[in-house]
Amino acid sequence: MGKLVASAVLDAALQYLEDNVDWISVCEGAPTTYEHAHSNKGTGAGKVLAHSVTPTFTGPAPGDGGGTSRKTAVDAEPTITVDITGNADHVALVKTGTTVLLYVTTCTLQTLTAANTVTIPTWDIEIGSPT
Amino acid sequence: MDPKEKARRKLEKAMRQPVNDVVLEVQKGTIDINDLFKKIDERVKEKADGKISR
Repeated sequence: MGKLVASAVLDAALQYLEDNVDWISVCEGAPTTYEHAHSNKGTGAGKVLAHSVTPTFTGPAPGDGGGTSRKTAVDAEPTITVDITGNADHVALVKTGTTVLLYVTTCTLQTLTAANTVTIPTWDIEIGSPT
Repeated sequence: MDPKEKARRKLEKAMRQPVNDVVLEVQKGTIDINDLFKKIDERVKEKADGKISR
């Protein structure tokens, strides 16, 4: 059976991120709950080493995968102050108002030192068209 | 996002100062919705078979 999704459907999902994400965090270990992505490492189950409350997005736009695929760019977060020393390997997007973990991706492991800064370069979230 | 709020956030970002800055290498997040469509197909079949009511 052939499958199709209109770009507008995928754009709605990507726009949801732009409209709701108000917190981006750099984590040690994979965050799977809101607390993981919102609380500092060493506080409860927190895994956060650094965070920013200024996430912005550019898009949606056509994806790299062809078809009706769509992507949005998470804009760079320059020079965020590191709160806790640790090994960063995940980046999380969160909505604090309703305490929801919305998106998680990985990053190459890098050691961060408290009081220094960390930069998250711009990166894409893409939703492929169904095949 | 409200354009004014977006502009405020961008301005705040631009004012930060680096301290021994580390630049992360973030992997692109790709969502494959093929599995989602398969699940929808399964749900439709289950509903047609009377296994689920909604």
